[in-house]
Amino acid sequence: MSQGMDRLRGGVLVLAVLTAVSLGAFARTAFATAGDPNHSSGGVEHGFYPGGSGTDGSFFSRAYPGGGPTYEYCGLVVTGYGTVGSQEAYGTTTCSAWSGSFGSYTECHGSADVYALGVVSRHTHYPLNYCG
Amino acid sequence: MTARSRSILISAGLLAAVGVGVGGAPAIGLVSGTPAADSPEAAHFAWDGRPPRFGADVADPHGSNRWVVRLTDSKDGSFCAEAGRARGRDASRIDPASSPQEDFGRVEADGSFTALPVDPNGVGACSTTPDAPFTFAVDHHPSRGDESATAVIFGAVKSDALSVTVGTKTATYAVPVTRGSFLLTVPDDDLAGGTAVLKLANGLAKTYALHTAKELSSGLGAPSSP
Repeated sequence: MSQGMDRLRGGVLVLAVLTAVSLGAFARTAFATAGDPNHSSGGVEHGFYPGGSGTDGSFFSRAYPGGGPTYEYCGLVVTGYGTVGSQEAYGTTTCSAWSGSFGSYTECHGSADVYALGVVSRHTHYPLNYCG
Repeated sequence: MTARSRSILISAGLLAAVGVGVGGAPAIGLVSGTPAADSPEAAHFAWDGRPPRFGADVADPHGSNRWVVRLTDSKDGSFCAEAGRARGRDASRIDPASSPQEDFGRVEADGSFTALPVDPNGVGACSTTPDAPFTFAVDHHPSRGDESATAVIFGAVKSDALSVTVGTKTATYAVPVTRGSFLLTVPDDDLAGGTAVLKLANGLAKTYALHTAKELSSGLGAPSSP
């Protein structure tokens, strides 16, 4: 009886640990996109790049293949406007969508919608001073 | 072990497990990674300061300012291209005296022109690879007023003998290579099912599947077919 209870307790504990690991991973991912404008993943740098400053209205959505993927997508999203412009880059070309090419927008409302074939799944990065 | 100490031990274990998850997420392939502070990215996109050049240009399908490629070089030796508009309302040509710094820009919704000098932190879509000496990119401009969404297909070319052919659902275009670059504007919706074929003198040929902005916004196109 006592052995059975111990086994049950052990199983519950293992389940709890696995759940906790998953929660931690989820939190890490959410944090990476919310407080992390850009980073390298699988050798592909990507994300939101503020350019000269975070308030000059000149900003970029980018994916830099680094010899890996053969296709990247980088979209510029601005709160209230949706996707204001995007770029696709093929082969060894880097993807770099510049806000200046598409209009005049307040930088802190911007975000970068990025993807690199086979390496970076599609997701969004936000500036450090993101203001919604 | 008392019930209280066992409870403390279990709580500590669970907290540690959350920590493992936080730290281990990148290792299990989730979207994440290391900050790019010491990366080559800055040099790759940073302008080397040499004067930009105008490349290929084409008429705007809506009769506004011409579209033009601006060519620059970055600090890491990459060659780069941007697509934009030329100052001046003469739809038939670019003013020969115009400057790629002062007369390259965008056209606003009211038809006015805004100059876009080179941003030193970002010089467009770039490449360095010697065995594929070209860039190939597509800009998607959303519809605006009476103007339909426009796709701008462009690139820089480091090889004299390169041909570019773009097939859309309505036409096939042989895109001329002019001043080290190529440029084509088409209605964005026409790219559905389209392809572009680039051929180099050395026999290299690349075929790229094209996508519409609608496909991209709905998540189609980009993920599975480069």
